[in-house]
Amino acid sequence: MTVLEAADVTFRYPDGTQALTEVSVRVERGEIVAVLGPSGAGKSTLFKCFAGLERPSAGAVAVEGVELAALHGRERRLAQHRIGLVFQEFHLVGRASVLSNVLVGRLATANAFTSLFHWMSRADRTLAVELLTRVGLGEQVRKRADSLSGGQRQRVALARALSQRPELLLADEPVANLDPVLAAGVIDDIVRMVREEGLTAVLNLHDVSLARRVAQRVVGMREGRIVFDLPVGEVTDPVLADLYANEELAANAADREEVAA
Amino acid sequence: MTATLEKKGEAATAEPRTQPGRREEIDRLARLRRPGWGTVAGALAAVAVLGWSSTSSGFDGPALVDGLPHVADFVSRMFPPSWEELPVAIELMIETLGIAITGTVLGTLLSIPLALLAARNIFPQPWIRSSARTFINVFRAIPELMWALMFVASVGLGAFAGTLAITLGTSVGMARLFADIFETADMRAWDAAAATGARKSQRVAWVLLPQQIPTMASYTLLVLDGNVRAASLLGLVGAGGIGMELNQQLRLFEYGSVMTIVLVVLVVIMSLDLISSTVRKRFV
Repeated sequence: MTVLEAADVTFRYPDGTQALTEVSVRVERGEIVAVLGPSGAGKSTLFKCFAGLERPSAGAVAVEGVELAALHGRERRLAQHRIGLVFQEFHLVGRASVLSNVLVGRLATANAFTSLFHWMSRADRTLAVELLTRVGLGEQVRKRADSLSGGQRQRVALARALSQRPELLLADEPVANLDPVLAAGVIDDIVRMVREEGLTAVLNLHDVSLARRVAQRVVGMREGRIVFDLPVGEVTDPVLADLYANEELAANAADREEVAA
Repeated sequence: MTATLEKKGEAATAEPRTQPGRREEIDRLARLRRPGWGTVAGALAAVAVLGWSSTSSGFDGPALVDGLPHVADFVSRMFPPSWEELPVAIELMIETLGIAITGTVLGTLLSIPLALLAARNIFPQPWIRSSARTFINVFRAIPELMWALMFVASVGLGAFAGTLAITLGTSVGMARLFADIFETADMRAWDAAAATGARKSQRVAWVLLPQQIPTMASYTLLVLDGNVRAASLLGLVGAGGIGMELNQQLRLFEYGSVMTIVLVVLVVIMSLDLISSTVRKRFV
């Protein structure tokens, strides 16, 4: 069954930059897909279109058959609630506690009035603490989010996304801000939790080895287009060299310009 | 990499051989700028405004010099302070603090919804923001003492009129401050919460306020300081507090009592200043 379907998605920013050109992807239930590509390839824009944060200029994105861009108000909020997001820079409330950050993921279905006073149901609180324990933060529940390390913060953000009880987890460069050792640990945690919860996941990554390690399928992007969409076994070194080829050329050109200046 | 280094070395040796055209350009840029006509006109206008305002303010140098002995006389008659006045002054100072604190708390609570409406990143609709800002600016333009006069006329003499005046003044003043604080807030966590499907009111309670409360509390303490000063004066128009007594003692030429009142106000405001600056340091 298809969880996420993008059909001929084109995206142009208001300044005229064309970030995506006729991108079509289909992600089936339970799949873990990595989107790879050099910076500026359009991965983040695609993430925003998938998440409903941006509306495609042309084409359509449907999550579980529902087109988010067409919804408004309560329906839209509830549809968004089915998609968990993890961002590169965590996007936590630094001064709030770890638990409070995770409970944010439960707000959409909580009582609209009592939740304003931070009064959440026992079930919501139990779920939040349980998720935090499962990502190894059982001891940090009452700490302030900004007192944690980068890797721990991203785990809090992961717990927040999972507390939504989503069908689909989208992550935009979730470990780009972390050092390589931590990065592998966080990615492993994300994938472990996705498997345990039986979710579908699309991860934007720029690290080839991480992508090969966790994904079942790899989508390669360059200059706003999909270059390849292959099972991880078929993502060979020549395929990757091709994906990053022009970037090296561009980098060399930039070096030469610097020398000439 | 080596090429870059070579290039730098070359540039260093090439410096003395600056081309003639370049030399002139450097001299031109290094020269002092002659003030433009606009600057001269602006300076003249500033002098003219200063001259006009000093005449219309009745500023009179000789009168000030002539008056110095009277000032000295006035001050000398304030000593010694009258200690019989002390219990009354303390009681009224407590009332003044009551007016200031109640007004600050109520005003701050009222200012938050107003500030949210006036913040572009919370309510992007221009008509909401501009009507909220207009409301704030109109009410802010009226000084607290005028509000006090109007409330005395409507609810009668006493502390209640003063409390209302401080509440109103604080709510519009703080609304402006808070709106600016909200507009400069980091919106990433807000956007992430929006993407979970949380309502705007929930995002205010769970993201915006937790992030901003230390800054808001620090400003509130600063405003409380100002409100104690304002509340000490409200009595002049009959709106309660220590100002009423000060006015009365001045009229009775009881300068010893006046001194006591001034000392009580001084001690209270200075200690409040000390407390609030210590507390504010812990916030930020």
